[in-house]
Amino acid sequence: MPDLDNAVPIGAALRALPLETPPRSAWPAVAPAVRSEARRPARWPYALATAAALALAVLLPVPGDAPMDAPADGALAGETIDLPALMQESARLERLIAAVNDDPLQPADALVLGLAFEDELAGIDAALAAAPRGSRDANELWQQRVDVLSRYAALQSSRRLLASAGQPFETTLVALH
Amino acid sequence: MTRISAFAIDVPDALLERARTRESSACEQLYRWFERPVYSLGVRMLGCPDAAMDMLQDTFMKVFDKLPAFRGDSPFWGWLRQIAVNECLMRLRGRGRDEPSESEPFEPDLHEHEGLLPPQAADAAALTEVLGRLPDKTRSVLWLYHAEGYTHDEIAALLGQSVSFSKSQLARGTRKLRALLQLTEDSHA
Repeated sequence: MPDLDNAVPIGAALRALPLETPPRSAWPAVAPAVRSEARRPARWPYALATAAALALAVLLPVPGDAPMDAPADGALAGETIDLPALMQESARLERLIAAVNDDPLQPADALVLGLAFEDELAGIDAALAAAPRGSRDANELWQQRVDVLSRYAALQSSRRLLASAGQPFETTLVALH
Repeated sequence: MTRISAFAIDVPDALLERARTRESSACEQLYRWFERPVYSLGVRMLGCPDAAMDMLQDTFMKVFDKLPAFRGDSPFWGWLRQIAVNECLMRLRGRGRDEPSESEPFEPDLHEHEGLLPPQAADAAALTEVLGRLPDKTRSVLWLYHAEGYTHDEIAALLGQSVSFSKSQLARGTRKLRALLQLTEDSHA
């Protein structure tokens, strides 16, 4: 070792190596398992008991929903995606929805609608798992995820608001339709 | 010697409680905090980004599956890291061939000055490249000992080998690293 003055202790050299960043997030692949375990015990009885409501409920417009023919990524054209901000917004909306959903007495149609939203999220998460991080596809999928969560949060907020006013949620949905 | 693992992140009890109940946002937050330490461990031990990606996903599947059983009598990060290390070792066991074993002659202990690497080791790209040329098990022993702070007793138990084997791999890996880095340095001189 000719250059002892500049020699580097092996431990320090290894610990100084920068952390590696995965080429894509594994969260979209992990999230469905987390969600399915979380909802499994509580929701099966409701789902079975309300099977007849499913077809009607998933077709109804959601309060605060975007028009059905609006492209989910329409806001992306010509705009720069702030991915960290989208991820933060996604996490914030999930926290909001989790807080609002913490209600064992939700009406059956709200539960069924919730399942439809979560299925939509699962589809996006599955696509995210295959999209390279930082790619345009991945950015658009994160935008879609935030859009879906926003609609879901709006639905649940509306339901809680109506419940606090003593109005049944399913009746209101039918009236809106 | 103070060793600070990249995993050493303090997680608030409240966040763990929310994650135990499978609250998605809490689980996602844990994932975000530990994603890079877990993936980096996978790259260092497995030497392959694709294998590290699989290991990253499987590690978090297991973490959230086992989280209700986590008692909290040790730091969460250490518990999670152990799951990640086990995932790496499971994959290394599946490779097996051409890896060092107890039947190899033991490498003599390192002299003090042999713990010093050539200046080229300060170049992250160069060090990463030569690390990748070590056998998986040798590289894993180096990483677990120096970067994660495991003892030879702990490494031997994890690998199902003797303490002498762990020490021998550390000495052999260190000498190989020094030689490879010296070659790199000479070729740039």
